[in-house]
Amino acid sequence: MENLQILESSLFPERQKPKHRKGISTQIILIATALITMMPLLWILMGSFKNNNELFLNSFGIPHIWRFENYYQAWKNGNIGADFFNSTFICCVSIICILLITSMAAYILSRFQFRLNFMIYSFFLMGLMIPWASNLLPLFLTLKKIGVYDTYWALILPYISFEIPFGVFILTGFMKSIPTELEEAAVIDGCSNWAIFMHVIIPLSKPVLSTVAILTFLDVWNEYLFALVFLSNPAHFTLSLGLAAFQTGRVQYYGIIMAGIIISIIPVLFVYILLQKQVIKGMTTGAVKG
Amino acid sequence: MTPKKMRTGILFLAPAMLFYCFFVVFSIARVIYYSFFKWNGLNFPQFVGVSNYVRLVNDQTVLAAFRNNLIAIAMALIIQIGIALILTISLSNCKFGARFFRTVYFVPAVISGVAVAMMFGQAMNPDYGLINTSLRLIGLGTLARPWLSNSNTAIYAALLPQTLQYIGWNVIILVAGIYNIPDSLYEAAYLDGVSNLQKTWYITLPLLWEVIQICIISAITGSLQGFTHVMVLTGGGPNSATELVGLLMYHRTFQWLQFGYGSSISVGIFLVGLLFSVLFKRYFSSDKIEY
Repeated sequence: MENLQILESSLFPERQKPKHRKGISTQIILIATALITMMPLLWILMGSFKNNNELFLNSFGIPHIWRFENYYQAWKNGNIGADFFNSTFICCVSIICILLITSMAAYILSRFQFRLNFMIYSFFLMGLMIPWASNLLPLFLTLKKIGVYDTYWALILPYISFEIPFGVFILTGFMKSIPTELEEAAVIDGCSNWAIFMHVIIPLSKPVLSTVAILTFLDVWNEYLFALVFLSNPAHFTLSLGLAAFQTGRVQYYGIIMAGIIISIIPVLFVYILLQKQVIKGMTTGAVKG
Repeated sequence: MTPKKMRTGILFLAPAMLFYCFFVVFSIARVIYYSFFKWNGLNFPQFVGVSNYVRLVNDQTVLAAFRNNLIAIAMALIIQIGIALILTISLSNCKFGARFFRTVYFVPAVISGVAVAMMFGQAMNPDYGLINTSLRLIGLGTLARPWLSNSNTAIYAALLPQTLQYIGWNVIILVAGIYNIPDSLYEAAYLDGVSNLQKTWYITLPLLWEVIQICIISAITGSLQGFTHVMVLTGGGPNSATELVGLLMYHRTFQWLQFGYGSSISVGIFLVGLLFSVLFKRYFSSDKIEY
């Protein structure tokens, strides 16, 4: 842009340059929005160290006394600790299963060329349009029937199943780009299909696998509806459920509720700060082409 | 296709196929199936044809809830996408720190809906909440009120979290779209002496329209299926003031034990979403702009 301006002013010295301000007002809007975005988070963070009195009197400021026991209370009596463990377990199992299952399917769909392949691929992709909430009742009945209602599997099985379309979509697209020469070389070396899969395809797919893993993590960790319907024993609750249940507690210690909120979002923020690019990519893939 | 290859193919596809068919495809088929029955989970289902759907379109509670969903759509389109557009365009003119701002704006989108809803719930607390104390601080204390329990403001207050949370998501998508607009267009415009505003209106927005469409459709389907935020905040609100169709489906199915009716609401939500998307694409989607 500078070159253009120099050229222009030398060629047409008398011409009026238009007011082309990359103005300060833009920066102000952006900074203000960033502050507004972060403000509730900071307010909750500050509030999580206050007790009820201080919240009422000193709503905005930094806590005078830092009551770390709010966190302890949330973890123990509020059951957030147990919820945290439940969520973590469900997340880990779901992610591992999803990666395995969808990469296996994607391998086949990206390789062997036959018309049935394309039909199966489209069949999986149709699932992207189905809202999770629509399947609430049949899933509930099925899970009860196979006896896993109110267990970890009551959530793990549906989570795996509903992430399959997305996983297949992303992984198939990527695996198509893995050159077949590598596999042919492996075959010449005497590898079985499974060995090719494990030692050639999977290592090369690490970037997309991590995208799928991150998205599954976010979907599962933050999920509320299935957890609400498929679990009933508070000891089995996930973090979302436990946090929401907090609100309807007997006596309201708001600081403890805020501590619970902070605890529940720390892992997600952690993942986001570390793996920002992947997170953003995972959540917006397929939305914009190119 | 050697038999061995065939066997490998089937083996590798089987787990995904089984899970998907059993939990997803089979489920959606059953919802449609149940919607034609009257069933409370205990007795035998009774076939009732389309009477659930007839009841659906005449049910005042459903219509009131749907009205709330339309409010959600309006808020999403105007506030969510509007602010996202303003931010995106600001970002494209940003002098420094663009990446930092993008990172910050996306934070709410990764947090759970429950957490965001509860944060807003705390902020809207009539006594010590962020909003009311701020109003009192700047002397507008008379505006302070119990946002979530007052039936006039409840629905707007309850929809606010889900509207604001995903602004960042829209920003990211729109920024990616702007990235695809070649600089040469802007340089040509600069030579012609256009102002910033004209630049935005005549170049950026038309070329961004395809991406904006994606945002709009996501906003519409998301607003129709919205459940978590409102459920956590009000559970349906003071006297069903904040009822949404998603919540209604949940209540009818699991609290009133009207499985057939609840299923018909589910199917209804899905169909309406499809209808809106198709209609939108037909009437507002133009051919790709060539340049």
